[in-house]
Amino acid sequence: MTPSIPLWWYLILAAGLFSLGLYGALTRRNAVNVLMGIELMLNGVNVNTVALWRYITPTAGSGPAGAGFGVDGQVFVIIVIALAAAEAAVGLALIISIFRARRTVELDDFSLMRG
Amino acid sequence: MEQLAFGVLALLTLGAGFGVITSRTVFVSALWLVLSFVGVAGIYVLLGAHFLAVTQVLVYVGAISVLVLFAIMLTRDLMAEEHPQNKQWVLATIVAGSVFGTLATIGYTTDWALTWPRGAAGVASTSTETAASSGLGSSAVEAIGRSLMSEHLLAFEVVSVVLLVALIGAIVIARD
Amino acid sequence: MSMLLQESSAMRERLMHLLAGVLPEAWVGTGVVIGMSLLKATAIVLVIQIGMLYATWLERKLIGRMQDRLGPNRIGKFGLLVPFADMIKILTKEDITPRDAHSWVYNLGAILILPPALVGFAVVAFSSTLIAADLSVGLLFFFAIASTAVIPIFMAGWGSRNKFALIGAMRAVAQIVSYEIPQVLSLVGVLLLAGTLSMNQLVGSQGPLPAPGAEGAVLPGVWYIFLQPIAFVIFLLATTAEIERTPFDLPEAESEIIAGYHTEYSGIKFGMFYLALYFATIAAAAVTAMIFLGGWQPPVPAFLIPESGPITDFMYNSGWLWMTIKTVFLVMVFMWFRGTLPRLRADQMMAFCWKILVPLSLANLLVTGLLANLLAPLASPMAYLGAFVVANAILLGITLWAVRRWRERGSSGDFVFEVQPAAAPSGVGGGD
Repeated sequence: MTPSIPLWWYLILAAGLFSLGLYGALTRRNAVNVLMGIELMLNGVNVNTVALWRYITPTAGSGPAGAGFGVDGQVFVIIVIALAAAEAAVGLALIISIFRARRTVELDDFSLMRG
Repeated sequence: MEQLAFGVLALLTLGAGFGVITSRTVFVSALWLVLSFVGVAGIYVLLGAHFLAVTQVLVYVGAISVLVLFAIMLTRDLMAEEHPQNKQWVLATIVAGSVFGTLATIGYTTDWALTWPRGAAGVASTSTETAASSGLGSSAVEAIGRSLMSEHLLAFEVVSVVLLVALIGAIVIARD
Repeated sequence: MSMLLQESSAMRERLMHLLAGVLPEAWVGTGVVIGMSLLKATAIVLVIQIGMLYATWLERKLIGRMQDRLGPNRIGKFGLLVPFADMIKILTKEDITPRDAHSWVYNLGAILILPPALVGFAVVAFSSTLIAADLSVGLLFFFAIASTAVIPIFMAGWGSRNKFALIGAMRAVAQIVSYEIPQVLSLVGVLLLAGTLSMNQLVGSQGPLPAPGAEGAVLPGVWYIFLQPIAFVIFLLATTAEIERTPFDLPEAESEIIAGYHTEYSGIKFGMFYLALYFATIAAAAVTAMIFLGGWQPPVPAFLIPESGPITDFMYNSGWLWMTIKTVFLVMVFMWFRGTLPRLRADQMMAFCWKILVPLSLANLLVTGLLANLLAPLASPMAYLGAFVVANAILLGITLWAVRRWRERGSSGDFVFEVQPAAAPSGVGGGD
């Protein structure tokens, strides 16, 4: 019995999220907005991973011998979520620190190293 | 039923993503971001990854969003409310569009050789009660815990060290 | 137990027949699912709403008595109609919206403050069969939903365009986010003993009655408050801080910051914040009762329940009675805190969380993990009880000694990251 939702629906959703995040990261001027774009990209990747895990995972893979459904996909995504949290924390700390020094978070003004 | 749920959630998530990148105020972008996180959590439930959905809400909505909102509060630059886009938006549209096109085409046209979890009798089934400690839905928590402690122990330990380093680093960087 | 199960499946049958006549064939399944969910949600909201109304009455009476006065006694006998008078008052107040408030963020903040308090009730087991959604990750679900409560607080604070509201919102968020950590960490000890995240199974493992669907013996068989008293205290304090009640109600301290993040709200929008506060209190009490006080389990040890007979049937069917008693008791404990304890300052609150509760909950987790592993081969509730009581007593002793030594040395024994300059001229920055 095949499922009612084909896999490519999820993959296109994930691709859409990723591209929206990419556009946001490339276009926005506020540094926090760029970080939000990055988080959207990470979410797109996670959705992709979980969709593929659900539809492709073989029966043997972290499950007991032979029977059962593996959990590698979920573990992967859990680790990615944890790392995304760490990255967001450090990134935002950097942004706050830069704001204290230069009173602005516009990326166009971070031009000290340019040229 | 599932298709309806998927349609609603996909619309929610993508719409919220669109809201993130087109809002004029940073704060409103952050709120759209929270909505997209909730949408993604719904997608995880639809895919049968219940523990992951709850973790997504707990970590992303409950913690990362708070971080983002605090950073917005602490870096408010009252002069910068106009023109939230920079001058590269044409190129960015082309790049993002082509990335989307590539990924979508790959996703749609590849024959993924889908296999379904097979029950004990070798018959393909979609029931979530296939095996006692299956990794799907209900009993995934135990399987994930075991996996993190046995097969993926190295990743688990490395992530804990990374989190510790990030914690200390963020505190030191953000101090006066 | 079976009586209620039959009732709910009978209702499902009736709903299916009803919808089969109305909807096309393929949509009946969806209709039944949505219909049953709506019914459950309506039932929960009605019951909890009545509970909340009388929680406000109870609060005013109880705190009045603690303060040596009578509390409301004019409207209805013993003031029992006071909640309705309150309702009418709040609904008819003028709704003043600040002119500069950001239109939809301000309104949405008031609306969204309710869902986190209400959705948590979906995993509360009012009885062994009366649980709206017996999720396998129910416990984590409750705390995930509770952690989303910070977003509407931020929206309220920012949308009001009021500096005091913003400061109040940031303080409230800092408090909630900080106290989530000891709250959840203290539960991990309980999880180690129970082995499951499902709420119903967690209650079932506290004996003497097994939860529906449980396999094997009921272990550990005693209420977790006896096995993990330190975790109970940490959880209670952290939960009091999470729902922003005294002694942690700095965000809404009237004498200090006007009314914090709900300064600019009046009328029914303020009513929403008020509702959310009481719903959260009841939810917190219900969850604490389920995790530590045995939820719907009757307070008798297993060997006193005969195999069959009227007493056994009564025990099985009276889960809702025990759950109600325990929840009301805990709600009264929260009100007792409010009536007797003074408010903590912001820095005292943060120091208490990070310097005392977090290390203590980690130590508790360590000890529990060790003991749970050692005790696993013995399958007797008494062994668990004895070992854990001794271990907790030792841990408590060490903690009290450490706190007293810390206080004697003066709390300025903190770590400093950089060396202070020898002669700091006055007016240059504040030291940490």
